[in-house]
This record gives sequence, structure tokens and C-alpha cells, in this order.
Amino acid sequence: MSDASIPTLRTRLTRRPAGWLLFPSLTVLILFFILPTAIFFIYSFLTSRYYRVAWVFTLENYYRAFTTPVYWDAIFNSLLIGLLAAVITTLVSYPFAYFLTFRITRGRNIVLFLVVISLLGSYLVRVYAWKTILGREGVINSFLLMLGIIKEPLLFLLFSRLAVILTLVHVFLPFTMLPILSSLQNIPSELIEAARDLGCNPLQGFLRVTLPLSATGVLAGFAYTFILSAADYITPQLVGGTSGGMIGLSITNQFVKVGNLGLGSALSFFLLFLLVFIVYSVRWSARRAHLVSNA
Amino acid sequence: MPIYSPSKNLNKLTRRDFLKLSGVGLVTIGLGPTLASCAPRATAVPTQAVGGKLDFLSWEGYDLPTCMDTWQKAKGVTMSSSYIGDHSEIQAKLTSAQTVGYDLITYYQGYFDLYRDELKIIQPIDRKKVTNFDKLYELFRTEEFWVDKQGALWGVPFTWGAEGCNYNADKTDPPQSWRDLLKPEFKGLLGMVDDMNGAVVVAGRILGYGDQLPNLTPDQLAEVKALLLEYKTQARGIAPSFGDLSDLLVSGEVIVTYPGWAAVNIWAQERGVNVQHTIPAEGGFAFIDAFAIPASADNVETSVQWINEAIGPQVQACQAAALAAGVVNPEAVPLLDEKTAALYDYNKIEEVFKNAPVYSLPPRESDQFATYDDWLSMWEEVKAA
Repeated sequence: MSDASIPTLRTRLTRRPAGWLLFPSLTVLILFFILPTAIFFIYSFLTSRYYRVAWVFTLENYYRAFTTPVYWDAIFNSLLIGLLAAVITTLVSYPFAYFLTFRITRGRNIVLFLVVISLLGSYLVRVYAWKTILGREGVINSFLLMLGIIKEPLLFLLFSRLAVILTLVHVFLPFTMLPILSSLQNIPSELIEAARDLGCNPLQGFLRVTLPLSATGVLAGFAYTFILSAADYITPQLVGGTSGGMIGLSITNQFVKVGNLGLGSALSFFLLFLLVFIVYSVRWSARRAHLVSNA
Repeated sequence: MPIYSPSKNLNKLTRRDFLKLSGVGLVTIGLGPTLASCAPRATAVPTQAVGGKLDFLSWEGYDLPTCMDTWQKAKGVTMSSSYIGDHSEIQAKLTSAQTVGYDLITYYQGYFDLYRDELKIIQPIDRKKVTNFDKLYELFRTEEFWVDKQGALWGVPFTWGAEGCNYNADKTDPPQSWRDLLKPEFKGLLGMVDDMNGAVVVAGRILGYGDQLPNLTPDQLAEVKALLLEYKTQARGIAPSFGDLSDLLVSGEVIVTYPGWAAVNIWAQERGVNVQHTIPAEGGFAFIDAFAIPASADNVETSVQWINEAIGPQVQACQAAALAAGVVNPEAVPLLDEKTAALYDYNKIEEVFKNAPVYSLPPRESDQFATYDDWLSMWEEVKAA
């Protein structure tokens, strides 16, 4: 028997279907995500009262979700804040990740460690920290007053959309940065060198090689921050002042305060649909612009 | 004689068998709670013995951890407390998770009808066993919020407070009228709180609808909304809780509040800011929180005895200091420290509740009056505007 006839470990592994490796994660996903989501989808077509669902089919929940102005206002506010936070986070993250990948040789791991360690801080602590920084008697106002640059505290810093977006950018920056960093690090340096050899200047090389090849990470980071920011309702409550409610709070109210599980579910799917639509629109636009081929 | 062969048995467990077994196991795990929740609720078996674990569900601090510690140790009772962030979580949890055997909850007086009649999530309490109940101020014994028309006791009030207006006494005089807060000097210095009931009730009182609250017509609710929007225009922010409202006063972001709570004084004063509480001319409102026993409770006897102890004089004085609240038992008044005693005038307690009455919640369904859902939608619109 020749050596060639003995299947190697690699070929044996690839021949055999390894579906069982997915079994634990699929089970968790089915039990704790798909099943509950399916239940809430069914709820969205049922009448409910006082936290209990009656098996009576209705489209009333979606009718109310689509026709109540306050929900549109909240959704608009949520999407606007989510989009701004995601765009700013992506614009801040990309240069940093690029610098870390292509410009730093020493201390890269230390910087990376500092990025990752910021994830360990509590979300709420970070929100409250921004209250302290941006407040009327906060760090920024006190500093500017001390220097004599301003005579009165800048009130727009806190309890405004600016404060909400600033806080969300800070909270989600590592989540956007890491996928971008990962995609940049996977670009073979030979491709960039080849582009330069073929006559591309640095900007052309970046636009034609680096950016398209890192677009998957950019889109992933953007989508992650956009979805989490748009669905957030705690940060606007704490630092948003009177700048408008978020749809997440309306959904919570339906589930917890009113006990209308049907309307809460319908609002959730309404938001889900819009988020998926926007994320895929961004992806489609990127493909149309030839920024990404298969992201 | 068959000989057990581990290797042989292991060999028989093929990948396919493993997947099948795992699948069956996981389906069992997944279906277990679902089937259990569909099953008829197990009848609670009240035991006569006091002791064991008491599952508590309410606001943090309402389990009176320091005040009840001695009694709990003496009786061998351990508290397993779950805390809420919003009162509605109590009914949400008791209606959706029937298999979770909470033994003790609290409710705001306005929820009595909903809990007893609509949701049927509380059970009557044996009044004879709550011996301290007869020692309470008369108004806490007779109100319709815990005793039904047949005289059955469903809840035992244990703490209360008046909600008026908080102000920083070093920066402004006490507002005489709620409308003072709309003056230009308070622009950007007013703090609101995400308390729908409080906001609507106070606005209703300002508009002269105090006598008919909580039964407001849709037109009257529209007037309330317009007034609330005026306050919102003045506001620096809408705090998600009274704790956050206290933060706003302490950090100097605001100097007056709509509405406020006497307890906020103590929290702010502990952090060195001279915050006081006043009830402007149009009046405020009061809340009374009561202990209740869920219909699905397991440890009923311990709950009853725990409640009885919690309204005794010593524990009452302790809870008032801990929660910056009022006492329901007059025997507790002499035991109060100076700061806590100063919160309310116990010599004229009837007057306190005249200025700040207690209200029930608006109707859940009505052709004539704005419903609870209408109030909630209106409040959402105010916040989103």
C-alpha cells in the first residue's frame, strides 16, 4: 500500500461532514434566539391584554405601530442617533486600525491590549463618567472656565444628542475597531506591494486594494454599532435630556408597563425590519461603488 | 455472566447515537420549562412553621435588610431578594413566570384593583395574624387600597411619602406655586423625572382637576399634555429615576424639580447639598406602598409573620430612616431620629394627606375617561416631543 493511498488527517476531516461541531452553538441559537423570536413574531399577530396573550389573530398591532406618530418620532430619533454614532465610530476606528496594522511595529500588542481592556469597563459606569465630564460643573466646563475661555458653562455639552452620540461612540469604539483591525491584518502585504509596483500611488493603492479588502470588517463594525446604538435606550435617558425618546423605550413600555405583548412584538419587528433594511442598503451601496465584492 | 466492558460500550456509542441522545436531552431541557409553565399551577401548601427562604420581589431596600436582620436570624428566615427597576416589573414577572414562587411583594396603592381583580396575582392575608395592623394610623387601616368591601385584607401598608417639589435652598426660595417653575429664571434649571403618574397627577391638580383625578376626560388629558410640554421646555433633563433626579440637584444641573420627593432631600443632603422639599399651593400627591403575598407563594406563614414584624414600631422607625420615608405606626414616631421625623408633620398627618392625597390609577378601559394606556401614550409623546 503506497503512502498516497493513506488518507491524511486533513483529508479525513474534510471528507467527513463535521456538522456536529456546530451542534452546541446551533442548539443555543435555536433555543434562545430563533425560538423566542418566532414566539414574539406570532405574538405580534395576536391580541394581548394585561400581560396575557389571547389566540385571536389581529393586524391591529402593526396598524398601531405604523400609524402612531410618536412611534415614528422615536424610530426616527433612534435611527438618526444610531447612524451618526456608527458613522463617527467607523471614521474614528479606521485610521486607528490602519495605523496599528501598517505603521506600528513596536508596542502593537500593548495598544491592542489597551483597546481590548476598555471593553472590561461597565457600560453604565462609562455613561455616568460622561455625565461627570460634560456636566454644568463637569471637567470640561470647569477647565474652560478656569482658563477664562468661557464666562458661562456650555450647557449643550450634556443632555443633548451630542452627549448621546459622544457616549455611544466611546462605548462602541472597540467593537467597531476590532473587526476593522482583523480585516486589515488579513490583507497580504504582497498585494499592496504589487499595486505599488504596478504604478499606484499610496492613495490609489489604498482606494483600490486596502479599502476594498477591508470593507467586510468596516461593514461588520458599522452594522454592529448602528444596530446596538439604534436599539439603545439607556444612554439617551441618562445623558440625552429632553432631546427625544428612543423606540427601545417604547418597546420596553409595552412589554413591562402596559402589558401589551402584541404591540411590543410588532414594534420590535418593525425596528428589526428597518435595521436590516438599512444595513443591507449600505452593503448594497458599497457593492455598487465596487468598494466590496462579497461582503 | 455478562461482563461489563467499558471499551465495548464506548464503541457502541457512535457519533450518530451521541447526536440523537444529545438532541433528546436538549429538547427535554428546552421543553421542560415550557411544559411546566403550561401545567396547572401547583397549589401552594401553607405551612404553619415560620422559617426558611422567603423569595422577595420589589424595590431595593424594601426588603428592609438591616431593620429585619435580628428577627430573621431569630426565626431562621433567609431572604432571597429580586429587585425591580420599575413597578410594572412586579406584575410582568408574576404573570409571565408563574412557576417562580415569590413569597412577598409590595405594591403602590393604585395597583390594588389590578392585582386583586384583573390579574389575580395576590391572595388575602389572615388579618388575625397581623396583630400590629390594628396599631396603625387609622387612615392606613381603612383605605380602600388594601381592604376589600367584604373586609378582607389584601395588602399591609408599611411606608409612604409625599411628592411635591424639591429645590436647592441655597440657590432659590421655595416655589409657592407650581407655575413658578415656568418663570424665565428657572429655564434650563428644572429637573423632571420619568414618573408618569406623578407628572400627570400634579398637572391635573395645577389645572384644577384634583377632585376628579384619576378620572380625566380625553380633553382634560390633552390640557395636561400641553402643560407638561411647557414644563419640558423649561427642563434640563428628564431623570429616569428619583436617584438620578437627586444626582442632578447635587451636580448643580438643576435647582428645582417637577415633581419631587421628600426622600430626595436626604439623599442630596448626605452629599452636602441643601435640598429641601415643599408642596406648592396647588398641592402634590402621596404614595403608600403595601406588602402583599402573591397567589403562588410557597412560604405564606413566614410572609405573614415577616409583614407583622415589619410594621412594628422598631422596624418602622428603622425603615423610615433607611428609606427616608414616613411611618404607618404612631408608636414608631418617638423612635425617629431628628432628620427623619422632620420629613412629615406626624401631629397633623391628616393634613399632610389632604395636601398630598393618594390616588388610584386611571381606568384600564373606559368610554368616558382617558385610560391608563392613554396616559402612557401621552407621556411617551411628551418625552419624545
